[in-house]
Amino acid sequence: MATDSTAVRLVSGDGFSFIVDRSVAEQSATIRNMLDMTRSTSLGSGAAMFTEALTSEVTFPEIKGKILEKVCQYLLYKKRFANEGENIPEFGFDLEISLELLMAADYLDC
Amino acid sequence: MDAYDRARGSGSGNGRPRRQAGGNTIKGPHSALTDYLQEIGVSEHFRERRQREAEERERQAREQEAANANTSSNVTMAAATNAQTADGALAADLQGEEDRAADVGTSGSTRRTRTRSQARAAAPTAEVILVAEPEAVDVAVAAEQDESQAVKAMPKSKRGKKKKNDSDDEADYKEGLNRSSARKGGRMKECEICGKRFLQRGEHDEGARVLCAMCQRSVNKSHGEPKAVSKRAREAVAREPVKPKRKMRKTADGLLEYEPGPPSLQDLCVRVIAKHLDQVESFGDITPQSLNKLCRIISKMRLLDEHTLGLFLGPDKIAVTLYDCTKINRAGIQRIAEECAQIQSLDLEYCGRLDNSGLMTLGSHLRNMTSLRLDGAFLVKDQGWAELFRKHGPRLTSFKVRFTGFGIEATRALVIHCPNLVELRISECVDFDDDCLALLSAPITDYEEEKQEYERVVRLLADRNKKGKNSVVVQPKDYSGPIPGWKPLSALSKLDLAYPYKPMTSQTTARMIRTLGSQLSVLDLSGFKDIDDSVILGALDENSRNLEELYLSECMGISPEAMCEFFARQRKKAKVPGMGYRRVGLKRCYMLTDSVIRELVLHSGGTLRWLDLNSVDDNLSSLGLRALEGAMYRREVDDGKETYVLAEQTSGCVSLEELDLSWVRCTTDSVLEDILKKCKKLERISVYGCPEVTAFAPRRPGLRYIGRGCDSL
Repeated sequence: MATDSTAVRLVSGDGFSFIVDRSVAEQSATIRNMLDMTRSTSLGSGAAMFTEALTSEVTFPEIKGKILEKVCQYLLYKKRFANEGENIPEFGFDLEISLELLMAADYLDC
Repeated sequence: MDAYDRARGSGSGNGRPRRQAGGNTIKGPHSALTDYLQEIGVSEHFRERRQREAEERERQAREQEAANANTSSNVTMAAATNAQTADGALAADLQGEEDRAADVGTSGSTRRTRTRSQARAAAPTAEVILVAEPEAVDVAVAAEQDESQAVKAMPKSKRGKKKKNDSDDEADYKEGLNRSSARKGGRMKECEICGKRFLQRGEHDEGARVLCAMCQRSVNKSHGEPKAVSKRAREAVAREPVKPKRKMRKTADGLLEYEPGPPSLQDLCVRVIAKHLDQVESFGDITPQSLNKLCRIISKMRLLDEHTLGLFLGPDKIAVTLYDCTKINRAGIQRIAEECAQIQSLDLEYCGRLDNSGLMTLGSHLRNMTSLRLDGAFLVKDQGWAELFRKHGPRLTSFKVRFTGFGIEATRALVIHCPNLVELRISECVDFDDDCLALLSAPITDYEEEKQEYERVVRLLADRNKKGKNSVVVQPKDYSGPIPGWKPLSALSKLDLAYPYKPMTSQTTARMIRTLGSQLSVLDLSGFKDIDDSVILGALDENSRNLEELYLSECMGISPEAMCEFFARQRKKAKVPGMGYRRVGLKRCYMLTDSVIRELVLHSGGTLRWLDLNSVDDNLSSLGLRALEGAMYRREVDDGKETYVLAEQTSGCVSLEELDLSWVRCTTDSVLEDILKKCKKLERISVYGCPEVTAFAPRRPGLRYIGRGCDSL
């Protein structure tokens, strides 16, 4: 478990873990909802926080380490250039992983 | 000359391995003639070669003449010329050979891939397989390096020529997406020193001061920089960094599909996959949204053909949408029908190869299909549609066609055989005329009544046969029993008859509206140029209880006064004031006045989300536009002097999301500012041809301007 409260650990299906800043991880809407500490208060008594929010650790059994690494890079890229209208460099990745990456991106909503 | 030839040869040679790696080189749209010429083997190279040979011959002839003139001394020179010519011709021939070889190679490799892909498809793997052929990629990289070395090795003058031939533009174009021809744009900036606005062209260094030309010069002088840098040197400096230039063009290109901020990872992936489609064997479990996006991009690149079609089909597909069926032939249609038996909604664009029998195949195989949209099926004729409705009409709930041979017979069959239609669109069909429109209301002529009775008998018998009541199949002409009476399309709620080719009369339109008007939520009468005030003040006014969307684009026969009156009457009828239409299209109703906008806002201000005032320019003033933000001005004439007084401040169009003000030239930055203050939800404003809307127009997150002059596409 990540000791630092601002860091989040993302674990891939094949056991790789990536420790990233919470704000970076929250660039993905799915992860943001998972880590949402205010769920129980904002959505009434019916909804509760996910365990992920307490442990700051999210496991993606469906996503391979290689893909998750690229996803983390993208999240960082998105955070870094979120407020820049122009001159955003291109985000490159290998052709081989593009389909898997697409599926991961679909799931993570980023 | 021959050195040049060789350079060209190496250039095209370098194109080849890339083509092999790609298999399918991505091309922009090209004409049917180009396609045809390619099919029969006439290529660009062929033409170039012919031209070169012709030039060569001409030159030879000229030199021959010259040689003949100076009889004696020039023998050696002529010989040299001949040798040279031979050399050139040889080079050209060689190149031709190479090209042919390359073509063979390419087709060979595609064939290989295909067989392999078939083998793969046979194996039952649900996994996604995406193969990048490493050797091919290596070859491409090596070739690219070769090219760059070749460019370096070439003398400078030649390099220029090469550049011209293999221009940046072309490369960009071939690369694929978003390659409209963009002019090099500039940016309006405010000078830091004098505050003057100026147009900044070219790349601007990050962190450098934004200065106009005058101030820049004086600053340079004070810094003691050499004032006069020679033009050539400056050009050299400007030319050197190639990368920034391309980046800038990309920004300008993508403007129409511009998303502020970094693109989403999904979009990035979709773009990459679309680019390398030939290497994809199956998409696996991607969501319908992503698949749709992929299909859109692939269609845009005109790559949807029988090889790629399979990627979008499958037995579990409920809805299939293909945006470009130009290359999908009868066999492809058959495949859609057979492989996707579960389809409920089928949506095909540009289906120029679909014919009557193809349509029937779709109808008879897709038993669950309730929604059908076909664009550009111009080979399907009147009879074909009628036949489809006779057989499969009752299950259709949504039917939309554009650009097809939809005429009187089809309409008659539609009205009788498709009683469950909720959505109907027949737009831009050449054969759809006033008589067809009349069929949507009860028949008034005996001839028509007779024709329809026949269809009704066909329907009756078909229904009976389905229920199994008749053991003997009776032919319609032998039937002698009670004939069911005329029924309107009672489920219909969305009707779109936009842009007919034939003139529609007021009378018939009014009849149609009296029959169907009160059940409609959407009515599109765009392009009914001949209808007049009586239609909207009479029929439409009385029969538009449930209307939520009204499109009267290009209805130039309707006067602004009638329009005013119509909205005013509607307002009085409305249960809640300000709650009216959600979408209103008044495109190219050139004569509309300020008061029309005022009445419209008073009627539907609270609900209006989408408004199109494209080209409503002749009589509109900025005061009319201010009605959108709720400020109602009244004209007062005092001693022959006109003044405009703010009569009333209403809430305006609070829910407006999309607004088209293109070619409405009274649109200015300040008007927009006022509108944006009230219309908090506005996300998209089209301002093509509005010179007064500048780079300094108000902005806010989520708001997009389309077609602004300063964005200079």
